[in-house]
Amino acid sequence: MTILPPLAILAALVAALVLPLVLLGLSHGPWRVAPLGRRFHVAALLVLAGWGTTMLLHWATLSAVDLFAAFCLLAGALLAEFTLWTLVCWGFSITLLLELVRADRPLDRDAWIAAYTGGGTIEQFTHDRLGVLLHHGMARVDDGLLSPTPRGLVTARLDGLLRLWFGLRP
Amino acid sequence: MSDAELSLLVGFASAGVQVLTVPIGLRLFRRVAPVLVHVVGAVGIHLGATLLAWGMLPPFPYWHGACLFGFISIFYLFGFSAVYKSVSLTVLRKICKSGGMPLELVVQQHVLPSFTERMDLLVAMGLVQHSDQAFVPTPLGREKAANMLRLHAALGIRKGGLYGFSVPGDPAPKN
Repeated sequence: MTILPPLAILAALVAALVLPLVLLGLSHGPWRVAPLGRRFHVAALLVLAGWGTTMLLHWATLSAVDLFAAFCLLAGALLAEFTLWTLVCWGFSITLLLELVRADRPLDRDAWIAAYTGGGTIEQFTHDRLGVLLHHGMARVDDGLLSPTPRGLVTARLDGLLRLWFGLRP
Repeated sequence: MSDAELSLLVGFASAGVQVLTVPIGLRLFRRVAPVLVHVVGAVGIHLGATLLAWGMLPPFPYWHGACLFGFISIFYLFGFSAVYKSVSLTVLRKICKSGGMPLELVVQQHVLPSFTERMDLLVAMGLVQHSDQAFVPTPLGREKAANMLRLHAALGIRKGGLYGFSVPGDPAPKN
């Protein structure tokens, strides 16, 4: 068995490992990208561009199978890194803990929720979470009633099938 | 079939085994953290399949199959994580079943319990103490939070938690 990776895969490995450093570079100074979601997208595009440029420079020596495998590696790594990024930025439990520590005094349930939402209410948190559904066209609000769109119905059906497959409560 | 294609085939076949066996593992080991079931399953199947193929097949390159297996395993775990505890998807599921729901009811029936559940989880993990209707972090909780705050400072994250989507009439702060 050959353990040494071909160039395309080696470049994908390097690109995946470099992504956290690119994120770090985009977190401070003149290149700072303030919105956290956009920051990850910019970092991912930069490493993809770097990998793509390397591939173009060595095009003559590459095989389609190498490129396919390298792309799988890079896509999988970006997905894993995005998952970690969302946990660090928006993780529910960890943000709750951070806000309790930041408050530096005992908080009751309502005050803790207010600290989490930046002085807001649970309704604001609800709007923020519902923003995901509304932004992606999966639900709409009419006269205070939240209802699903056709896209929301399809998403819910897919969600139900996945839950059934994984043995989660319906 | 080339050596690299054989490697891809081994990776694809072992990913198929992973896709079929994880749901069984999740049902058998309900007390084990689901992510652990995914990860231990993926590592075990990858090692087992690689060693088996190494012993039974002509020599082939390792990386092509490993890349494909890794991608499918991560995509599978991503799909699981999306449906496991998402507040948004829970709400979507409920409004699809009922056809619609007043926002007040969404707050009372789904959002508030999701907060309570996470607060109780932090208490159960020994990171937060609950007494006299008030919550305070334990020394362990303060230590974990300090580590995360250092990471946030390094990454220039000033405020986490809210996604910051723009919703008409919603004053939620942005990141």
